[in-house]
This record gives sequence, structure tokens and C-alpha cells, in this order.
Amino acid sequence: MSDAATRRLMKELAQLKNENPEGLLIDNAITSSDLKQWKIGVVGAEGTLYAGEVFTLQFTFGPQYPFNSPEVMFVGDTIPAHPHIYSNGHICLSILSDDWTPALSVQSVCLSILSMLSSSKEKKHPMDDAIYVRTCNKNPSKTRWWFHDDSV
Amino acid sequence: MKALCADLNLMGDDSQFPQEPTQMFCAYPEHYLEDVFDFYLFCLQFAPKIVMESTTEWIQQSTVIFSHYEYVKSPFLVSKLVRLLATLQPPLWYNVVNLRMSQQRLLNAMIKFYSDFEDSGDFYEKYNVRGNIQYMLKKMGDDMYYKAKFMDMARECGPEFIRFVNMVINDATWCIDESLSGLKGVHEIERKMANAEEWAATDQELRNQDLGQLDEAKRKVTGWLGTAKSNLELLLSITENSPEPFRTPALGERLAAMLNHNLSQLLGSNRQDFLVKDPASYGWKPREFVSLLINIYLGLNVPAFIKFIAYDERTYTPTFFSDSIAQLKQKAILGFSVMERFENLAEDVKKEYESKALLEEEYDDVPEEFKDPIMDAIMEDPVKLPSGHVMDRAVIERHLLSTPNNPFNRAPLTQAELVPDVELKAKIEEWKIQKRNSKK
Repeated sequence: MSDAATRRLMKELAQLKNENPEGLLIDNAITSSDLKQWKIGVVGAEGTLYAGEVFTLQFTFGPQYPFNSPEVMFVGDTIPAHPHIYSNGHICLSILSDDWTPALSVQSVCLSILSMLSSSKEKKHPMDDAIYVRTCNKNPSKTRWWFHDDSV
Repeated sequence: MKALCADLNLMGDDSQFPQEPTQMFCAYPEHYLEDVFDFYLFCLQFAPKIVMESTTEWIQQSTVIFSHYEYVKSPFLVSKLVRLLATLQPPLWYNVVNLRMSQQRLLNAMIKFYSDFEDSGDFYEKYNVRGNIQYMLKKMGDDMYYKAKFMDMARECGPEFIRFVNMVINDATWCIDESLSGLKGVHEIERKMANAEEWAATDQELRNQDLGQLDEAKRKVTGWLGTAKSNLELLLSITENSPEPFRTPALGERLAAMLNHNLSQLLGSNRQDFLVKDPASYGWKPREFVSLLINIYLGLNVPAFIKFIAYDERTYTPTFFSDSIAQLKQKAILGFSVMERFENLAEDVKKEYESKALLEEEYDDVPEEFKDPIMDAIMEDPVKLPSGHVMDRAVIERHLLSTPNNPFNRAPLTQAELVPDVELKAKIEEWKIQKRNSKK
């Protein structure tokens, strides 16, 4: 990992701890010693389908971060059932691929995913879940997404 | 053709062409051209004799269209045209290069289309187009005129050329990553299979899955390795002729990081991971590959680039280079003189690395407004974006190479719109001097 990317990640971590945004479990976030991989808990917002449920997001940063997007997916025993989240944890969200910009951050990505959860109307994996999970690359950033719709 | 320029003189120069395509030209359906290209592609492949015996005006006309490919809307049509031109062999090929209009514009068009195709969509077609352009460049390398012109362009370092080199680095990085990860996959499964007892005891379904993966990895390696090699060779030919483009931080840093990373993959402690049975069947020649990398390093033996190697903290440490040198010697990969030159280079890089360590201790508690908002490091050359944000030039230029927009609001942005923030720069300089003085 380049020195520059590490510096940026250290700043992001400090900021997250400082601001402690609602819905993110920062205190027990796990970061690998080289900061290359983070695991952050997110809590479904009150009044939504996922209220009170806790999920884990895993961030993996490449050496080109933040010029290239981090690899972000849900891990652990509970993967939220959501029309844009596959049962293997992969997330179909434009800012994680085509629409990434280096001005985004771990925090803004977490919050986008939370708001994506909040606006869901039904707890269901995408239609092509079965086939995608069997055929996809292990690394979600290598998937060339076809964005289904923008409404959720 | 007539629709574009009423009385075209093929021997004339480029000024005969209008800035914008004429309405008449635009009115023609695209398949007019496409059918012509398809026809000649077919002929070249199956009936070259007919082509040889007929007139060659179509070649010149096709070349002229390619030199003005902005007249043609569909990038896929242009990519077909590139394929057609790349298929031409001497003596037909001379019709392409000896045209006066080609001498003016052909190289520019090739280099520009090379980068332009990035966003046109099809991922694999991109590599076909670039492969064809590379092949054309190689053919042109024999021609003194084009060789000199290419070197001039490299020396000038215009934005188009920088973009082109950036794409070559991108592709080389991607293809090498894919090939090496493929080799790793092959290695892992072959290792499992080598343990015959355990392999026989494994569940049939798991075994089939592994075998499937093995096939896929093998295909991947064969496919990407060729592209990786031709991209590296292209880089080598650019660096040997003119290291100028790599003095800019945007390109130099990335190339240095790429070279370091791959050298450490191949010579570092994980090198065993790439051992596979029968490497020749994929065209995998690690020795040749390593010496290609080393030669690129050597082509760039200029102070600015040495700095980039030393500053690449992802991989570079003095021991990394000395270990690599030990490996290179043990395996006798390089000739004597090349080895010596590389050792000298390593020595220079080490010096640079050490002097940098001294410099670095200086800065802590940098005020927020002196830091780049994206990378959080003190700015060397602050520039203002139209949106009012201030960033370090090296950071924003690197971003613009791959995505020509403003990272803060995604509005389109070009390098020309960056305005130097002279006042802030002076402030930062002043602050640095103060810091240095207070330390003494």
C-alpha cells in the first residue's frame, strides 16, 4: 500500500471516530494493521424494513485508492435481503464502480448503503441472484454492472 | 468521399478538408463505409491477389478517413477501419504511409483514437483496437520519417501523448495483474493435483470445479500475457527513445510503482507462486519478462524518474532492490553490462531514498488549508478548480487522466481549467521555511 493512500485512510479513520455518524458502529470497527481492509457494522434505521438489524460491511482498499473505488461488500452470517444486494454480499451501487470519485469516502459510502437499505420496499434479493452468485468473480469490482433502476 | 471534398487531390495536403464534415457526408448511412471495409477485409484475407491487381485508391481514401476519424460518429466503425489498415502488408501498406496527408496526421489520429476508445463501451474490443494500433506503430517503426515524428511527439509531451502513454500503462498494469493472478491459480490447482493421494480422495464435484478453474486460468494467462508483453514492449520503445513523458509525476509515479510492484512479484518471496508445469505452452517466459522490466527501468535512467522509484512506498525499499539484484545474479537472467547498469541505478535510487528520509521528518502539524483535500498531504503546487476547491496539481492531474471530471461535483473538467493558486503556494513555501528555521 502506498504511503499516500495510507495517509488518506488514517485521516478517514480519525474523522469517522470523531464524528461517529448515526447508524455506523465505529467503536468496534476492525481495521487490518496496514489499513488495507476494514470491517464496519451498520444498523438498519428505525422505521424501515431493517430496523435494528446489524450487518457488516467489508472495505478492501487497493494501492490506487482513492483514485480507484474500494471493493465494498457485505460479509458475515447475515446479508441483508435487498433488491440490489446479492446473497453473496455483493452490492450493486453505481458509486462503487462507474460513479466513484476520489472525493467520496468510507463514510459517504456507508451512508449511501444505509439509505439504500432504508428506501427498500421489500426484503428480496435481485431477480438474477441465483445465476449471479454462481458465476460472478470473487471480487465485486470486477463485475461489470448493469444498473437495474434508480428508484431504490 | 466526393461528398466530403469535391475535388480531392490525393497527393495534396490536408488543408483541403473542412473543419466539420459536410452535411452531404453526414447524410450517408454508416453501412456504406462499413460494407466497403468488410469487403476489403474479406478480400485481403481470402483473395489478396485480386486486391494486389486492382487500383489502390481505396487504401489512400481509407487512410484519409482514418486521419479524420472525428468525421465518423461510430467508434466501432472506426475500429473496423483500424483493423483494415492494420491488415495491410507491404507493398500495399506503403500506400498508407507514403501519403502526404498521412505524414501530417496519421500518427496523431492513431494516438488519439487509442485513448478515445476507452469510453466507447466494449471492453474486449478495446484491446483489439489497441493491439491493431500497436501493430501499426511497430510497422511504422521501420520508417525513418515516422520514427522521428513519434519521437518528436514524445519529446513535446502534448496532452494527447500523455493520455496515450497513460492508457498504455493502464493496460500493461491490468494485463500483467490478470496474467499473474492466472498463473497463481494454475499453480495452486496443480499443487493440489500433485498430491495424488489427497486429490483422489477429494469429492468428485470439487475436483471438477477445480479442473474447470484450471482451464479458465490457463485461458486467462494465454490471452492476457500476449497483450501484457506487447504493452511492455511499447513502453520500452517509448522509454528508450525519449524518457520525457515520464518526468511528469502523473505518469512517472505510476510507471515506477508498476515496475516495482511487478519486479517484486516475480523476484520476491512469493515468486514460487508463479511456478507452473510447462510454462512454454502459455508463452510464459519469466526470464524474458523480467529482463523486459529491467530494460524499461534502464531506459528511464533520469533523475526525475529515480526519484519516483525511490518515493514509491508501496514496494520500494533498498533491500527490495538488493534482494532482486541477488536473484537476478543467481539466475543469471541479465547480461553482464545490463546487470552493471541496473546495479548503478539501484545505487542512485538508494541515495535518493535516504535523502528523502531526512527531508520527511520536517513536517508535522501542517495547517488544514495547506493540505490536498483528497490525499491529505501538503500541497506542492496548489491549483484552483472552477468549483472553488483547491487541490494539489499532481493529484488532480492524475485523476483527470482517467476521469475527466471534477471529483467534487462530477462536472466535466480539463487540465486547462486549473488555475494556479499563487498566493497559497507562497504561503506554503513561507511556512515550510519557517519550519525549517525553527528546527535549527
